[in-house]
Amino acid sequence: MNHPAQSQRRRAPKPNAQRTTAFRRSLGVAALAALSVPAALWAQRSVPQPSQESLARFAGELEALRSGQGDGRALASSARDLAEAGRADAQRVAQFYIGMDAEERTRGWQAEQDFFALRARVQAAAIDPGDWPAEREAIRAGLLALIERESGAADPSPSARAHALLARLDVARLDQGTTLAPSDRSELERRAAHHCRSARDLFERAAQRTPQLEPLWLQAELARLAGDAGGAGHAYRELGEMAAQVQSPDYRARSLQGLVCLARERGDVVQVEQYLGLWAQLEPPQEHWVQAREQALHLLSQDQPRSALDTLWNCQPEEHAQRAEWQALLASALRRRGHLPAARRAIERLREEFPEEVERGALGEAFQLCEEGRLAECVRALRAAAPFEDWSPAGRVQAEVLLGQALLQDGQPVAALESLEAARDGARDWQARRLGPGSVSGEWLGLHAAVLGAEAAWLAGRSTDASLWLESLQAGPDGWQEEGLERLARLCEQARTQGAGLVTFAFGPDHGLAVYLGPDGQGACARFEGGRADWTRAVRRVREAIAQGQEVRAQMLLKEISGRLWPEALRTALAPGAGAELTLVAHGPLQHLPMHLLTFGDRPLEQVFSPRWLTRLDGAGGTTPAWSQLSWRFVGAPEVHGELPDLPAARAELTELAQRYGTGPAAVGPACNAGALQEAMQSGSALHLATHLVRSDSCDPVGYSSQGVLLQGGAVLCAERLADWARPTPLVYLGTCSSGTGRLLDGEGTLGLARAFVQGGTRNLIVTLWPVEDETAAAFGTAFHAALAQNHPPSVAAALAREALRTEGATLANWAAFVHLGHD
Amino acid sequence: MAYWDEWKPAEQARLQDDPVLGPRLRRLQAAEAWLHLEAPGAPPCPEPEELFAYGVRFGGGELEESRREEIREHLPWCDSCRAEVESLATPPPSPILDLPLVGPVETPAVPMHRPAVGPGPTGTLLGLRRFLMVAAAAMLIWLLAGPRNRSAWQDQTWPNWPAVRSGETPANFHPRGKVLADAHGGLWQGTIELPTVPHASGYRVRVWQHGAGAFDTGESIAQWDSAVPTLRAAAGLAPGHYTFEAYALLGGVESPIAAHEVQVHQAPAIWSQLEDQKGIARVRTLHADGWFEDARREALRLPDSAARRAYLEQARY
Repeated sequence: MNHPAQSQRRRAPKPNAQRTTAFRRSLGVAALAALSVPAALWAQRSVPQPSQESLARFAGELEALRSGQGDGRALASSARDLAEAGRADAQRVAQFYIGMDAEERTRGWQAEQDFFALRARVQAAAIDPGDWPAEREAIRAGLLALIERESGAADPSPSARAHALLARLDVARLDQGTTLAPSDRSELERRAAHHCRSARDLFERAAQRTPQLEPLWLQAELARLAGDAGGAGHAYRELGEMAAQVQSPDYRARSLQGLVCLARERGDVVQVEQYLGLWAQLEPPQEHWVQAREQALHLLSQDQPRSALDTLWNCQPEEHAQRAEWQALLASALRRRGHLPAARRAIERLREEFPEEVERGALGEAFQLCEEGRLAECVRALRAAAPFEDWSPAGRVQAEVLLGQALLQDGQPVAALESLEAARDGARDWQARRLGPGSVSGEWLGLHAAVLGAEAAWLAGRSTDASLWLESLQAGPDGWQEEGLERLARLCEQARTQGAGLVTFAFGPDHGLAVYLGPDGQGACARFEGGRADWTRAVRRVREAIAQGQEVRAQMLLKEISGRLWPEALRTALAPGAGAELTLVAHGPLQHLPMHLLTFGDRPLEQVFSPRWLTRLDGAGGTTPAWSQLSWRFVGAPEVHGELPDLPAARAELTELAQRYGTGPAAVGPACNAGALQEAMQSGSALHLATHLVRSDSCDPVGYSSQGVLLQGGAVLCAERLADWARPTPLVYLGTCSSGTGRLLDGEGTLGLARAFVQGGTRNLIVTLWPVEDETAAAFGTAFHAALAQNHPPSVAAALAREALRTEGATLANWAAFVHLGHD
Repeated sequence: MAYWDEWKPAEQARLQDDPVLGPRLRRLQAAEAWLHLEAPGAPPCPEPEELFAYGVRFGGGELEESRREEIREHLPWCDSCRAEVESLATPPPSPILDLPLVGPVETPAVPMHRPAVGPGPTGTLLGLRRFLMVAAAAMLIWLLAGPRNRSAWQDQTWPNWPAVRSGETPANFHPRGKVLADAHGGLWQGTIELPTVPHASGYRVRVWQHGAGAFDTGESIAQWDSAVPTLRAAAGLAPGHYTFEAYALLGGVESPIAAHEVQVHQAPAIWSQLEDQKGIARVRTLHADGWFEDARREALRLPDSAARRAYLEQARY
């Protein structure tokens, strides 16, 4: 029975195959961009827009003039009309042809007819390929002959078009040719690049801007296929700008599609979201499957299967091959929602209706069997397809992860680890080549693989490797390259020998894992229930309860979280280390939790161990200083003169502390400026900063969640500038609101103000987890420094300062906001 | 005397000349004129063109962000404007997989203040409006001329939020945290406010009811859609724990905005306390007792002022 909503859904119009990255599909459609664009897309723009009729009239007049049947005045008139409607390039084109000798014009027009005949052969081959390699070479020869013949002609347009089509043929081969020899590949890349450049130069000579869009797009694709993400990004952005100038929504969409793909490949979720948002404004996803697919993939990777399903139901493509993608994605979304019978039906339909989609069908079936608990069948099915030689790189990696998962669940950890390591190696190689719409940081190849790999390594008796799996996939893009892995392995070994050892966490999409490495070589590995979304929700509930003063509820929630975070196996293994220092790497949602409020068994964690919380495993640079003897710089309390209040308590706090330490005057009020902060940060001294945290559009949204700090007169200093200035220092106190928060990304951690200092080598940080009141923050700062003066390390000083505030009657929201991160 | 404007001019003139009643009438008239014309908190309804620009969002003309914010704030309290705005935008696609529990459309409570100049009110509303204005005028006269020993609820100062070290505007997503169930029906029937998302064609809120646990996902019990970022809860929520998940619809695709916890409480004691209170006093009582969302709701119904704006802007719970 059809779902009621199905009757309401809008049928997507015939998809525009030009927009797919699969060149084989797009060859069948006229690729050369002309001045005409779909009228429906113009309607979204507020700038003057030419009508479809005026564009057609201009094209007709131009055709007539070039074929010797038209009149230059008529062309000039329609060009003027277009110019008034925002298309100044039409006048340049008209002037170019009107000023040309009539005989040369006709010659150019005839050459262009020859070109169209060759292009028609490409289009015909897309429908019936026949002996395509032979036909392709024949077409190439024809195009090259045309270029040769027209080399000295006054009208460069036919040659430009020929170069563009040659580039397209070469890029198509590169896109499809996974088995190309490296020398062939590099020759094709060189040739395609030459054709792209030539096409653009010749179109420029002919005063034509719009037709340059295609070779520019091909240049971007070429760079992407060559693994040159920077060059591709630059070309896609240039394409987007030019497409906006010549009002081509089609190529603007292509530009955004390329940028989405690049952002996904580098795991840049923030930019994926931004580009998808722009794309959705340009054209509705219902009308373009590629966009709908990207939207659904993004939602799935963000633990939003319900929204992904919604998108898929509303955006059903009609083209056969795209329907296969849709079915496979639908099955994924249904599985993630827990609708296994419905997912099974989707997979069966995929295999029945699209038997040619071998890889997609086999992967979908294996995922389904694994989810249904039919592990032996899953392993059998995947082993039948191994070693996946004909599969795409993405498919190979996914298959290896899935095989590892099935083998692990089936009690074969050693074999599982082999598969998972093959997946990791494959993904590492894959990263240097072209990535598909999936991503190494996506749903099944990111933290899911990390959790599986860690568990398999532990069960296979490789305890350090277990920690390494978790840390390497949460240490940014370099963490799982060779050098990164070696560095992390050293750090794991160092941390395990200090105090009670090292505990590291990961929160996969389905469940979490903690790995403990003890100093005696013993340890534990424990799963805990709940995936990333469940833990994120739980942490949010705690934070909201605290912020709203619901202290009893907050304590109950924290007790529940603590109970789940320390499973029995972990508690037992950790028990002998009680009283010692314990290094804990708080990944994922834990980074937003006031960890000092956690309990261990029936006692507060801080009373059982001396915990050192880190946000990623990094080296403790430098030596432990005498905390009471630290050299300090105090900066903050600017005069804001704006909507935000001044911070009198911060001013008093900084002034008093500067006097106490005898550091000279604190940089407060007018002295709280960029120069003072830069000098303080680069001095190597400890820094105490007390001001407003702000979010500004002028600050980096990707690396630092647009965060910055407020200076004198309301000037905003962005976190990325602070990152540039940060130097290794023993201690930084960030006395602003929410200085320890920001957007949380898989594999990266919290992207915010604190990150700027961690990356710069700050050994210890005091940060806040939510907004703090000026008065209370000042009281905390004073108490913290009083404890430091007694030579307590920062972690202990923070705990003593919290206790002092709590004793004085501060609310939980006020005293619990301050946390210590670092090594002491 | 409250119905002075229904008297004939000659009768009004006689009253004006009366040595006792004349001054009182003039004070009443002045107060009523102030309420009609000068009260900053009673802004007129937006112009139809502005409502069009607000509702259509694209192709409906430009609208300053500050003006958009004013209209957004105005809508929850003005049924006619809200209905007009909602009629302008295309409704978002229907939910696909889980049908929402759509309750009867509740008639919203009559707001404490109505726009002084706006579409012609109905007869019943006119009477109520007149009553409210007269009551407010009488109160004003009493405040001006009455005894000086004001009780606590006459204190016109707003509650204070302490200064915090953040320039981040708190997400404009209400309610969050604990809210009061209605004194009579025992349900929470409020308005949900979401931040405006550029280019969104609609907004959606999914409501999950759950136990009080940290990991309890609960059950999806309702889905409310609106073309504008201000949604009326289509059905009341009984006391309990809820998660509100908000989405903007961009090209028909759900784009998550945020999620918040909401707890609906029954608290008869606070309602009893509020019974005899009016205006800022109610805000102060609710605020002091930790009912920040309800205090905010009360504050929104009061006349605009710098202090009121400061109170609403500084809310950081």
